[in-house]
Amino acid sequence: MAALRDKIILSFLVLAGLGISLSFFLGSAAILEKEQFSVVYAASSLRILGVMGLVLFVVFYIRRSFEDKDIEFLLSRPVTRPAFILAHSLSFSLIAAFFAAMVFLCVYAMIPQQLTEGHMLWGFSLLFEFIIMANAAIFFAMVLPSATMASLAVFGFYIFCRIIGQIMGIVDTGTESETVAFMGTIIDLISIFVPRLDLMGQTSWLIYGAGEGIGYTFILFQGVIFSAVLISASMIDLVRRQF
Amino acid sequence: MQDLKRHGWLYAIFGVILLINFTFWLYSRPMSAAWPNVPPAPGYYQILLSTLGDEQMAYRTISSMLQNIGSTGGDVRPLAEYNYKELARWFFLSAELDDKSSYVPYLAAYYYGAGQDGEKVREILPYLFHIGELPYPNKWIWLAQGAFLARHKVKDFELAMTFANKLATLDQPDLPIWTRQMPAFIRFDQGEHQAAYDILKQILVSEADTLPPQEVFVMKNYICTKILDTREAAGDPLCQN
Repeated sequence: MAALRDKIILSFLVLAGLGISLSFFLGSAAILEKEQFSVVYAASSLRILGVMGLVLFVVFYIRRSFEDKDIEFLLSRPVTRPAFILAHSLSFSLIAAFFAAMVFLCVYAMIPQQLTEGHMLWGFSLLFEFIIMANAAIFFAMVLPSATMASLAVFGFYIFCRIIGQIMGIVDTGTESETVAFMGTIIDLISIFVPRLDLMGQTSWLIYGAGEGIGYTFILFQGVIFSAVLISASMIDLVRRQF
Repeated sequence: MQDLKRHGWLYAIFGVILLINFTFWLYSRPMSAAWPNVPPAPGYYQILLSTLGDEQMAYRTISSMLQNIGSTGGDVRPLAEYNYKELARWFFLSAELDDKSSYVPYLAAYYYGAGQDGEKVREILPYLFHIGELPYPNKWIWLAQGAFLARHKVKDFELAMTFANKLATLDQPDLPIWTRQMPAFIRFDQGEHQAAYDILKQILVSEADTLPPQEVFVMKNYICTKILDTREAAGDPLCQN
């Protein structure tokens, strides 16, 4: 209901329409492989737009609930704090699934005749990426006192998740220096808590099909494990919180 | 009117600011971004940082950049000004991101290969060789294009032979017969008629049974009318029937 009230679906559809139009425009400037260009631009930009819309909605919803004392009211009812987090996580995961479905349908609708196994894997990957980010948004909105700070923190976290593979690659290629080796150890430690979103939602799957390596099992495990980490961290924060 | 009297100083300041703005526009209007030539190519991991780890997006962004790089704000630079050494680094970087697409090879061979300076075009030939020997469908055409550029743009016969030999020995089915003949054509162009004759004759001996009759005819005709002169052709059993 809150998502409908905030006109988030309408806003996303308008942005998706603009993104697809722009992708077709940019793709048409290519001298070869115009369809591939359009699909890659659209998939890449809608993926980011989807995450941005979802994160902003979740963060602002939770911060508004704190400020309007909705959370205190709900917790005065016979609802345990972990159950409260679980219910919210489930609701936001459903909205994340809806967002992922919209993005997938937009990309599919661009060139419907080219639907492959790669498209299915990409859509499945997008679903878990959005669920992870919805749970990350719940966690940061719980922990940080301002909606702006929480939104920026989630976006930072998202960027970090998308580039963690490259950072580890850079560290791995320059381990002769002691400083870089030390940094590499720190990065390795941090990466334990960072989902490898760089391995998910690869737009090359939309063009060349699903390759070897990343499959449904990896995506499912990563989605479940990191969602569980974020949900339990949110629960701990809420359980310790004094109202 | 009363408002103008009360706040006249505010309108005056606004007018002065507009005048300064207009003066600045007169100064900046003829300016355009200077073309810094081909920028240094980053590393594989660095370029991925700019597209949040999305390899295909990075490839398409690079491809688009390579297509439009010399066109800055309506100022289109000639290929002669391009730094081809740096271009070649971008080409190899793009191959690390996606070696199946034909977009960047197409740009390298047909667009950048159209440069008039043979020594500059030489810089991009190792990239075409690298792409041409990949085991994906139709990649061999970049070896053929590389041989053409090496022969006619760079005018380096040995380099052209490197491409032609690679093309002739590719272990791929369904390659047209002229890919096997290319070393002979280059040797003939070079004036080494005996070498050209030997290559074509070898193909005829080993594959005459499997080649279509018209291909055999064309090859014999090339040997008897182009490689050999009239006297030599008259004495060669290959040209007797």
